[in-house]
Order: sequence, then structure tokens, then C-alpha cells
Amino acid sequence: MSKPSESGNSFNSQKKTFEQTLPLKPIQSELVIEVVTNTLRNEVEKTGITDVILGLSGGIDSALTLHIAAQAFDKKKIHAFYLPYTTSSPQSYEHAKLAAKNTGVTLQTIDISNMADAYFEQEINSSSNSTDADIKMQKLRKGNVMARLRMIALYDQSAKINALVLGTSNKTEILLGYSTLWGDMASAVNPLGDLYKYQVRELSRALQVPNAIIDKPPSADLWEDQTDEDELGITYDMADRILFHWIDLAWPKSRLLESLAHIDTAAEKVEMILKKVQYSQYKRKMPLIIKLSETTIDREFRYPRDWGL
Amino acid sequence: MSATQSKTKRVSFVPFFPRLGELEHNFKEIVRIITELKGNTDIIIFPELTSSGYLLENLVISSAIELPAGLPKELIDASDGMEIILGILLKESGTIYNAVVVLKDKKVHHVHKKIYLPTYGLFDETRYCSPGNDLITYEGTLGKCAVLICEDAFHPALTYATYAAGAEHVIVPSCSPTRGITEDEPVAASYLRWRKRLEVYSESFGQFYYYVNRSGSEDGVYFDGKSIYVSPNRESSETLVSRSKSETKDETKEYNTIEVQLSDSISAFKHGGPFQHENWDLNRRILDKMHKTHEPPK
Repeated sequence: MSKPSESGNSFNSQKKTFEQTLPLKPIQSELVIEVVTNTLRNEVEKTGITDVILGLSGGIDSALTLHIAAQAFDKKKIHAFYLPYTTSSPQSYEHAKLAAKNTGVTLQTIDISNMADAYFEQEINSSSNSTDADIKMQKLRKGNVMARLRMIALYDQSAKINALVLGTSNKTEILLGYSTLWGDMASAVNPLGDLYKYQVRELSRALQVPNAIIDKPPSADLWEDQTDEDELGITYDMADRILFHWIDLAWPKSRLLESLAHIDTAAEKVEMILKKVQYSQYKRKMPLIIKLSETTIDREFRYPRDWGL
Repeated sequence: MSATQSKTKRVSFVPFFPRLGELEHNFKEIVRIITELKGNTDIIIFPELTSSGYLLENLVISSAIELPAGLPKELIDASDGMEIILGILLKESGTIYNAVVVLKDKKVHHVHKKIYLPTYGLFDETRYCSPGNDLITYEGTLGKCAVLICEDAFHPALTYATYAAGAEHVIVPSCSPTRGITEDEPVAASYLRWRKRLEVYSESFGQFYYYVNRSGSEDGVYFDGKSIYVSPNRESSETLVSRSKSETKDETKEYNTIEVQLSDSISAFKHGGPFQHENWDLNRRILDKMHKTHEPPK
């Protein structure tokens, strides 16, 4: 029998690493596949529309969405589009093709370069830029324009072929606001929206998404050598651990900070993550409606999205 | 009728997939299923809010029906020689309840109004419904029965009350959204909570439990279509799991029918069980006293 420790604590939190302090639990992949594929199929079928459409970036999120769709629908009902800009990495195309081939879905391409360049020439490239901040802002604006042009292409194609647009944003990036409003966030159904990045990886392995796609560093591929984690200033692993404990396990901020007090810079990371979530709340809500009547949309006028379906 | 037949009853669990607020379609589908099962079963159990679907919001107003006028005649007639248990949204004197109706021999035989309306997490029931304020048992095909609707059965006081009333069969129609994907077992946390509870109740009170969850999805929320049957007989205690694998928008295709042996062994269990010396008066006094001395956390 072990002797009770003098402090009354059988373990010493001082020695725990960040990962040990905020452990992540594996998901039940088989259950997730059942729930996600059945719900996706139900929600699409209810609308009377039989086809789905999605953009493939070459990254893990859209590859996983495609593999989920392939479980739920006939391959012929899935329309996958690669939507490159001039600066898109050739590897992205290879990986988009790999994902499509793995599921037996045909991959089509719509190059957004001409559309994007027309706007960039007129509104962005011509503006004066001297400081680093200017250049950073231009990159951000261009990235958002590209994301929104891809949305325009997908929604236009969805009208052409009568298909519903599938979302590819995961819970981590939606919470951090690391996505473009009305751009890559736009969709009819998002099968990944309740899965953290680490869960996206687990599910991708379970659905045999090619390893080359799972293992590469996540990137929005908006410019050369861009990685999400550089831009976010934190690894997805750390972000997931903080978010999972704060949101899913309902740890208050004070508990997060106390538990991580012995780890350098952990407090900054916690503050940063929590702020990002708070600042991006507007991205997760419909635009504000100024209340005038006694029956305002979404206040008193409440109907489910599946109304009449 | 042979002696064996009288001891065995067939119970069908139907993980119905309703269309939101489309009562006409849903009732038609309910009658179709009953007609299909007729002759091969004695009792059919449908889930909570079978006639209307669950995440209704303002659709509650157009989805609530009065009894018996709101039930189609074909449905009431279909209960000829059998027992049908289904969830409806009940309108009574201008008030709306989440209710379950038991139809038997072409009559409304019993009605239970949900007492505990969950209003937390994704649930918002008290916004749209009023709570029932009574619980009574009824004589059903199986014997003495009670209906508890979903959250009702999360309150041990109510399951205990059914035991106190001598109910041997507790029917639990449910709309339980699937959630919780990081359990140690390959099932959702939401399902595990149900199975554990029902097993404990059944073993503790010597009762049969019949739980039916709906299937399909609403607004991205999934219902697993699982049913759980727990028998208190030690030698035949089992947890039966059925689920609809082919649920679609228009049809609920898979049901599960079981045979329930109504043997004397439950009373034998009761004699030897932990509740044989139950002192009701003392329990009530203790409960009253404990509650009065309870100080809510500051």
C-alpha cells in the first residue's frame, strides 16, 4: 500500500507537462462515422436535393469531408472542385487528386486566378504599401478575397448542378475564428464543425485518408510556406488541449491558469486562445437584427432549419 | 389460449423517424407500421413526440392535438386487440404538454404528461410546453404499467414512485440526441447514461424497462434509434439493443420485436431483493426532513 502524500495529493502537479496537465481523450471513431454519415445523409435527403458539392484544398479537413461524403452518398452524387490561385502549391493539387482518387470521386478544377487578379489589380496591388503592416494587411485581404471567390464558385456550381455545399471547417478553427466569414465558413451542412483538429486527424486515419495529407503541416496555402500554426502563434495541439478543457470539460479560466502555472508561457497561450474565441464570436452568429417589432426573426420568430423538411 | 401464451407477450420497439411538424404524414406512417406489425405483436412502443418530431420551436402550436379528436380514426381503430404507445404533443384547455398516449382496444386507455421538461444544454422544453403534475399507473397488456417520458426517467423519485405503486413494467419513450464521443466504450455518453440507469432501476426495483429512442436527425442533431429492454429476472436479464440502420426521410424500416416472459420469478426476486423491507412511511418522513434541512450551495 502506498503512503498518502503529506499534502493530501497523491500526485504532484508541478512535474506534469502541458500535455499531461491537459490530456485529450481519443474519440470513438466508429460511433462518429455512424453519427456523421447518417446525419449528413438525412439532412441532405430531407431537402429533396440528392447531390453534394465541396472544395478540395489538398488539406486534411476537406479530404476528410470528402471521405465522409463518400460513406454517405453514391460517388456520382459527390462533386469535388479544386479551386487554385496562381500561388497555390503544386503539392496541394497532388493531394486534392490523391483524396479524390482514394474515394473514387471525379475532381474538377476551376482556376480563380483571373477573377482574383482582376480585383487585386484594381483594388489591392495599386495601393501604396510601404510598411510591413501594409504588406501583412494586403496578404490578409487577398486571402479573404480568395476564400470568398472559392465560395462564389462553389455556390454557383451548386446552383448549376443542384447540389448542397458541404462545409470543411473544424471546431478548432471555427472557435479561433481562423476562417473567412462568408468564405470557407459558408456551407449548407458542415460535418466537421464539432470535431477538434486532433479529432479530425483521428477520424481521417479511421477513414483511411492518405497519410501524406494527414501528416503534412496544416496550411491555408494562401502564400508560399504559409502554415496555420505560424500564423496562429500556437500549435493546434496546444489550442485543442486548452479549448477541450475550457469548453468541453467546462474548466474555468482560473483553473486553466492555476494548473499550468508551472509552465513558461502557458498563461499567455491560454489568454490568447480565450481572447481569439471571444473576438471571433461574431463569425459564429448571424448578423445582428435591430429589434423593432414584437416578433423579431430568431428572437420570437423561432423555427427549426428543418422546418417543413 | 394456452398457458404458455398467457405468460408471453410480444413487444415491438419502433425507432420512428418523424417529419418535423408534419402530422398528417407521420400519422399515416404510424398506421402503416402498425398494420405491418399487426398479428405478430401485442404491444407497439413508439418514441416521444412520434406525431410531430422534437426540435419544433414555434411549430409546437400547429403540432399540438386534442384527445381523442386529434388522433386519426384509423389509428384508434388499429389498436383493436393490441396496445399502442406513442408520443404526441397534447393540447388541453389551451395548454400544451409533451405527452404519451396508450391506445388499447380502440380507446384512449391512458395518458401521461411529461413532468420533468429538460431546459438546459440543447434542450428548451419549458419554453414550449407545460409540465405534467401527476403520475399514475395503468393496467396494460403486460400487467401493471407506468409511462415515464425521457427526462422523467432521469429522476429516481419517479422511477421509485412507479415501484411504490407496484408497477412491474415501465415504458420510456424517448428523444435522446446522441452526444459524447470520447467514452471508454464504443458508444455515445448519452446512450451509456440510459443503459446504466435502466439496468440499475430494473435490478433495484424488480421491474421491466422498455426504452425506445427515435431515429433520424433534426437540424444536425442525431437520434440513434436504439431501444433498450431490461428484464429484472436474474436468469434472463438482458439489455437488448436494436437500431434502425436504414432510416430515411420517408420510412422507418426496421423494428425489433421481443418476447417478454411474464414468469413468477420477478416476485421471487422481489422477495429476496433489497426492497423487501421497504418502509414507505419512514422513507417519506426522512425525505421530507432531509429536504427541509437542505441548504442550497452558496
